[in-house]
Amino acid sequence: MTSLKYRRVNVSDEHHLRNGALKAHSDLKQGSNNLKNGYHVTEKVQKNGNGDSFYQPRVRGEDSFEEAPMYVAVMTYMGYGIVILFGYFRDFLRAVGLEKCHQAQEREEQKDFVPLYQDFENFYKRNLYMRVRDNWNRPICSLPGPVFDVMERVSDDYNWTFRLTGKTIENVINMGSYNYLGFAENNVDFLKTVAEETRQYGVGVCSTRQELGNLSIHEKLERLVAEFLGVESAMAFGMGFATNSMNIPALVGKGCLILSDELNHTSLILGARLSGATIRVFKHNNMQSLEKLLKEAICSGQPRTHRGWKKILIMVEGIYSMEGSLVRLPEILALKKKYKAYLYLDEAHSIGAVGPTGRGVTEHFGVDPNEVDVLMGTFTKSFGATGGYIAGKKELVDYLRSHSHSAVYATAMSPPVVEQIIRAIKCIMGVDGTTEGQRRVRQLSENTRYLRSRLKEMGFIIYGNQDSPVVPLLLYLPGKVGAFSRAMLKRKIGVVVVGFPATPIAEARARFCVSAAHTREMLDKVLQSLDELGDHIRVKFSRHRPSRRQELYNETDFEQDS
Amino acid sequence: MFNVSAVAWIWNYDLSVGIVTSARSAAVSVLRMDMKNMREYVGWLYYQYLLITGIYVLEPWEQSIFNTLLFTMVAMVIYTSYVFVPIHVRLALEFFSELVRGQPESTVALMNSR
Repeated sequence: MTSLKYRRVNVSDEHHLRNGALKAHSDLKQGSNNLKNGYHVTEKVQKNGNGDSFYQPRVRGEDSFEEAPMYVAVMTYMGYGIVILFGYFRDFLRAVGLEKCHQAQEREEQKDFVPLYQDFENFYKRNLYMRVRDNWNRPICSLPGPVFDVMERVSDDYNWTFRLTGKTIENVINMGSYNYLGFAENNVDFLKTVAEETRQYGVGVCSTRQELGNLSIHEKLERLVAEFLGVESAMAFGMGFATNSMNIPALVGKGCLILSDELNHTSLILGARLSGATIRVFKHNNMQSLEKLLKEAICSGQPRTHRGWKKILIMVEGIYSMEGSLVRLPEILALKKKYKAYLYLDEAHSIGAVGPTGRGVTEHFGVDPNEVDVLMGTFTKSFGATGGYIAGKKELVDYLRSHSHSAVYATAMSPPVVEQIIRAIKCIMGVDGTTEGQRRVRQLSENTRYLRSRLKEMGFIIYGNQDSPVVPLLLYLPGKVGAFSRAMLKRKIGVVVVGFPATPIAEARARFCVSAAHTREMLDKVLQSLDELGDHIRVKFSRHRPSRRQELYNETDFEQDS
Repeated sequence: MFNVSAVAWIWNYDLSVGIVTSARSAAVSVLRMDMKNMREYVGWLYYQYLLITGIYVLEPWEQSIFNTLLFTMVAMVIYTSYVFVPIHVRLALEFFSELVRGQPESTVALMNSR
């Protein structure tokens, strides 16, 4: 593996009109200093908080992970215990033959072999998941924007098979799609360029990036992504999951150490395992745990030989999608510099969704994006397309162009999708001449704050940071999970509930994804339904319920203010 | 059995809006002999029992089995406590009162006298 020497290079690009107060300067200044939206790119390495006044370290709200009262945990385990007992009873009936087994079974000749369907995962799927399966994979028949149409389906044999009744439930409010900036839309004006580019380039590429599939539109996209993020260079891939799993093996290998957060996504874990490096896990967002691991790693080196590690890579995510918590970026950067490690930041959910102009967690914390070694993100969530990118120094991206599995073996991205990403990024940056992008970013952060504060007031337990648009609402008990989802659908609101394999067994939750396309009326309707349902089902477990809003004409308040 | 009619109510609970949820209004409805609200409240309590024990996800015949078992155990507990607890309490009281009052007397004399 070649050694990666990092040398700063200027980003050469056209001068677009950008939003922000310094529009005039960007057209006049030449040479090494380009002012873009408050980022000052110079030859010297920028330190966090030093030198340029644009890098104001921002105060970060605290993540909340409130614990439920003890009786809730007891009831949760009791509920699971009872349903598992019934699961064993039904398995016994199926084994004896009193009941027909709807699931796949081994053939008669294979009964003496190692059993295929006896592990806990299959048991759970047969006996717990199947009973409430109608809450997932609901068929929809419209665009998944802020509202959508759900097809009604019923089951005659307790969720083993479904049939569609033919009716459609219309205008269901969509609280589950990752539609943070509302780009999942069907507006003819916005999509004109996409239609033009499709006519020009076609739909399929039929080749990999390294052979015949490197189109000029791909290069345009990568330059635009690098400019959007404020880094030197970027590369785009066709699939977000594959961006992680196929590029981490290209960056690290045997003899390297990966320090990965407890709650990292499966794609990161898969990429780490495929690379062959040693993996150590630190507690979620816990800097003491990370520092301990770093110290140990540097002091003792590799496991048996005690040689130094070739590379230490810290893998974290911008927003964790199941918890809604933000990464502690300034602390991690400080640790990284102290112990000379590299940082891989996966901004799948946070790009476009946090930060005053939608540039992600680096902007949210006021940190120079060039300090993060590998910036990764996806176009699936905030940009309404598919695919992922990796951005960073030019040497890194050039290396990945020749050594990444995706570049060599995977088909290139399809031109309409690329054009959709280009138009979405241009909209957010304001390059297309409107303020629509910035309006959406602001609307998203307003909606997030409104929803989170109202839910906390009502007394629900909400996890995560106050600025993250992912809002998990804890339900805990297995019975309430199914009841909650069905009742919300009856009230014409579509929610996503998550249970055991994706979350710890005692912490089942409903996850809301706020969108910039949600209007205040939609959020009010959702909040009102949640209020009623929370009382009816009894999921308002929070013990820190803040006091009711004070009356407007309370004299003592005025005295304090003046 | 009781369960069969209750099962038909379950799906209604998921969408009923004006359900009686506070104990205070339930107590008021009992006082006023308001049968409809009372029945709704009892139905809501049964719904909570289904949710908390996790029985809500099971098929109706499994719910019947569980309810039968639970009812049987509760009935046995009530029977045992009704029949045997007074006897045990009386014996215990006699034992301790003899200990306190008649120190020289032996326990053998106490038992022979009964």
